[in-house]
Amino acid sequence: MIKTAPQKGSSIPDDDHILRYIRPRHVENGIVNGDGFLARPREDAPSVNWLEWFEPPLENQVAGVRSVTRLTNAKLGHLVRLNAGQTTRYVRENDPNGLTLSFVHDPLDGDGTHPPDPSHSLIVGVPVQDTPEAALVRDLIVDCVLTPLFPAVASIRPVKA
Amino acid sequence: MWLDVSSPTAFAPPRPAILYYDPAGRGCAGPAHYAHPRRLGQLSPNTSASTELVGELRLQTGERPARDLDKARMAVEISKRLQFLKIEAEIDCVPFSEASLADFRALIRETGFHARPSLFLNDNGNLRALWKNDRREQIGLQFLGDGNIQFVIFKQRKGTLCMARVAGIDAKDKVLGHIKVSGAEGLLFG
Repeated sequence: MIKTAPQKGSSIPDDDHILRYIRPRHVENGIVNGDGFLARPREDAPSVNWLEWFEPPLENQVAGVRSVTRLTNAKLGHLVRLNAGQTTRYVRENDPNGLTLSFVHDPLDGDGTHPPDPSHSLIVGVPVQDTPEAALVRDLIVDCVLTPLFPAVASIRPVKA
Repeated sequence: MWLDVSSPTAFAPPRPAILYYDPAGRGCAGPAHYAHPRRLGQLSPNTSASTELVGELRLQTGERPARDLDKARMAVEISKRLQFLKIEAEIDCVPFSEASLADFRALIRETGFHARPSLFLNDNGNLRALWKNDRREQIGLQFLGDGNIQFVIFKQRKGTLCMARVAGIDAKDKVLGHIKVSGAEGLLFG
């Protein structure tokens, strides 16, 4: 089946999932640091990949995300999975300001060095690093992390958080 | 107990740890004090050293060395993790704040926590220590330097499923107060 790339800015369905690359300095023994979910320098919003763009099973979907990444994934880095709807609800219900996150499609066109990445998406509404709002929200997001965590580079076994 | 990251060879296991591996508590080749567990002196003169009591004594004398051994192990693990984070800082081209590290060390010295935190390096170069349990309770401390700490405490209210959440920035001793008030200090002491 040939899929059409999602429209930029449209919402990821609540039942769907995303993967976020977490650097080795933000994860230890399956415990994830919430700062890994805040926007990196030069990012407007944290970049993620929409898992359901790729065909199941899960291992194939994760492999698909690895294949389109434009980051240099570290061997000890991890891909961390969130459910879009559950994370949005959990943060809204537990953040004192009722923050509403949005998981939106942001497909990337191919360029000279990278193939197109229709799975690329953003978590919109995540506070900026080093702000009081970010302190709580980052750890609320971590509460929603689904296990197992996946190695960012293939051929390393998944970690049970 | 703290190990200097830059000189790991300075580490020496605490002496009482040897007792832990010498249940008989006597006849060992070490210094004389190894052979005489303190608890023996606390027996009343008329108490016979039954096998049961000796077993109890072994346990009591073994508890402290075991804890010291755990702390030594934790110190080594933390030291290794800090070295790893310094390397990652270089790779990711982010700073590694010595002021933040100094505050983390000071916290270890002053609280003597038993539970090993997960340690992370934030993009701003600050260390973040995180104690977390299966109930999603947590103490997260980001060491900002100059004795200031950003804290994020999640603690389930007694007898409910309700999670109390507190976050803020305060001086180190005040943060310890926040932890105590929230009833989360158990996370630090295992």
